[in-house]
Amino acid sequence: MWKILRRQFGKIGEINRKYSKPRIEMSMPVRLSLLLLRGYLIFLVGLMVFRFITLLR
Amino acid sequence: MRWFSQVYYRYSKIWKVITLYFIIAGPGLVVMIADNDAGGITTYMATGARFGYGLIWFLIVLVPVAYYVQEMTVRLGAVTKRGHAEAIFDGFGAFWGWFSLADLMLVDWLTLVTEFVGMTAALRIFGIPPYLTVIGVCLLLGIIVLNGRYWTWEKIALVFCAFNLIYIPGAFIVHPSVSQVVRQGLVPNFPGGFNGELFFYLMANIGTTIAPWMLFFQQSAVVDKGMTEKDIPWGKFDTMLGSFVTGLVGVFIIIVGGTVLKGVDIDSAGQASRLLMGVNHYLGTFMAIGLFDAGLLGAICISLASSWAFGEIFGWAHSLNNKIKEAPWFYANYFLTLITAGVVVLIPRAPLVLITLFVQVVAVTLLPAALVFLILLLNDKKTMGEYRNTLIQNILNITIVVVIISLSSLYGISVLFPKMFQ
Repeated sequence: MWKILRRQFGKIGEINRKYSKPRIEMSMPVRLSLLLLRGYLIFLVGLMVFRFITLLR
Repeated sequence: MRWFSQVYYRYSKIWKVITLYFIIAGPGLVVMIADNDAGGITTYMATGARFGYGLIWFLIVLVPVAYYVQEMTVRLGAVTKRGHAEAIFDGFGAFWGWFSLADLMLVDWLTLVTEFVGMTAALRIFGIPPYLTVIGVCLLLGIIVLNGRYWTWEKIALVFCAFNLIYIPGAFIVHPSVSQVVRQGLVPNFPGGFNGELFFYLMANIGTTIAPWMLFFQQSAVVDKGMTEKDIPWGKFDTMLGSFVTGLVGVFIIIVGGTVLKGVDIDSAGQASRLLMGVNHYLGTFMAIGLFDAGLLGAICISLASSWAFGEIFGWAHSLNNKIKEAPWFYANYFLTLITAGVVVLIPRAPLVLITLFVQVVAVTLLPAALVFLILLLNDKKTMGEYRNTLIQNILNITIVVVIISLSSLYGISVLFPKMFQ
């Protein structure tokens, strides 16, 4: 069982290598969209962390 | 004689088209109707109870919006023969892939918990204890997926979809005033003025109409069904019909809520069903059956969405056409998700309300990402060729996505900071 699970976890590295390069051409609009998405998600996660800390207080 | 043969020829042609549609029908109808899940029913009922028929027009506006978003997954699945998770990994690399997969797993599991909450509440009305409901549902869903054929699974799911229509006769029992429904419901208006509470309800209705799991589910279902480019028009029609039916059912639930529960604070669909049981026994029974069916349909689809996604990425066999021996990891993932979500509902004093709120917040983080990826993938000329988005589709879809992202973000923020919009 442990062996099987270890093999599945080992697959994660394999997947990372397989998808290391994005296949979609990184044109300006694509780069900009992904950058905005990153910013948006960081903002949202930051908001959640802030809420969590204020709730704990 | 000639007239008879002409009539026969014409009708046999129509019959052939209908038969062909029933062979191809499935992913669009199932995903759209499953969207009216336990959470959706609660939202519609609460909307009707709070604003009467006043927001029916908004639900009608959401019908084409849901269609345009979901239609893109049909094209993407039929052309690439890949599920949404795999398409994100392949298109945008491992970072965005893992982000989407982890987020999907979390959202799906939490949503599944809310489906179990709805199902146990519905059957409790008939005196069935929650543990029996959970065991029964897990067994039923196990039997449905283990029959070893996608086609059979899909047709069973379509039967459960038909039960979702129970809300339509339910609305006729309460004898709503048609002229009031038309006057108050079909003319765009903001009952009570545009305030924080109304805004919260508008966003909740968007959140129940377009959910991230739906994108992943429909694309994987299109692939598992084996749809190809030539099936795209049928897939689009299927999605259009599904979005119409889901909107129609939603409208009828609002009518029920607006007619008999106006002014009542609705916390859950179970509570609404109990109240309706007091008004009319048949109506309450219809609502409870509908709620159970909605939760079941949601559970059928949501548990599969993450199993398909994991199968695509980890390279496991991940088709409903596979037997359990051929796809052990796919089915293990499916049952693990299902059983753990069911068990949470049985834990005494489990924070179910908190989970329900958390689902909405986490979904908000996944939805924008999934929608942005969808548009970018649909514009990839190399992969999509002639099936890529046209200029008009892009204008429409980008507008929809920008509005959804803005509103769903505000919704997420309003869930985190409830006093902000009051």
